[in-house]
Amino acid sequence: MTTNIDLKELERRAFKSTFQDGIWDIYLGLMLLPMVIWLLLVAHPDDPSTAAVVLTFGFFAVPIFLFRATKKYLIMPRLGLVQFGTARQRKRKKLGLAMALSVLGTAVIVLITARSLIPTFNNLPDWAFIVGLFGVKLVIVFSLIAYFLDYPRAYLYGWFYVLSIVNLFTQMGKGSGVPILPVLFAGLMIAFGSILLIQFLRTHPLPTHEVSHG
Amino acid sequence: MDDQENGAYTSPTPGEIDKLIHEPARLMIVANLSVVESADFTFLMNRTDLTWGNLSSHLNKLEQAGYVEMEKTFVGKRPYTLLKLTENGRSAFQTYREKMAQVFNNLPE
Repeated sequence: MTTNIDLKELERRAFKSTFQDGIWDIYLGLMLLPMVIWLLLVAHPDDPSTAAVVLTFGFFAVPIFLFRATKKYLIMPRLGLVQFGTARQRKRKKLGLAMALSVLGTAVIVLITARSLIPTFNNLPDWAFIVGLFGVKLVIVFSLIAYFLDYPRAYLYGWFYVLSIVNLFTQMGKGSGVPILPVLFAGLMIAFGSILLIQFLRTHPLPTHEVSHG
Repeated sequence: MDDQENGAYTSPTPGEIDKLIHEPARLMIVANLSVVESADFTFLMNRTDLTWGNLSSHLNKLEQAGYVEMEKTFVGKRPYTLLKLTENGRSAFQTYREKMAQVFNNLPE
């Protein structure tokens, strides 16, 4: 028996165990794919149909639906329920505030775009400024997620998103072709998440007893 | 100057160690519950690697001692039993940690 029980490490491991199922990785990977679909169906055609726009938004809803269903029916019965202490709750509130500010930031960027307030730079297309703003915003958001949720892969995923968006806009400028980076990064994230999910399902079988003790 | 500083530091006697918490499986349960607000049976099974029967038996003892309390709740339509350390349980665990630290600190090198 050790003389010292490292409770901070124990708490960190307990918290991280709620992120080891891989569904966040799969979700973030799947969210990249509708961007490609948007490019192909909405951005490239000169006059995209309403059906194409609706279909694209539909594709954005698929990862959300899959995430919620997997969490509810596959993960929760195996992982169990846990409520963490006040320090974690404070971190979550701070993250919530940061996310709200992020939405505000997006609104500002959209406003700048809509009002054509884009500053012009030598030899740089207009979209470079927008991509730069979105890129900075994404790096900040993903870094905050990584920090507040003890989820270090989010640092990397932030850069995956930034590079994917740069690739998307470059393809938009060209006017044709499928952007490779979003597909590649989505594939990597989904593959990694799937490995974690399979490991999770193997190590966390469904409880065979009635788990509501007492 | 206290006992520790003047070298007259005394280890707690075996009777002073809380044997209910000292048992390894229960120590794992209490330690895991001490770092969260509350957790259900499945989460504790995963964190402690105890079987359903073992966990249930140890939790009964901890509940009888007033160290653990249970709260029934629903997530959607599914019932869950959340387990949490009582104030008494947290205080007993803190005392246990201090006593054990004294025991080990007082061992010769």
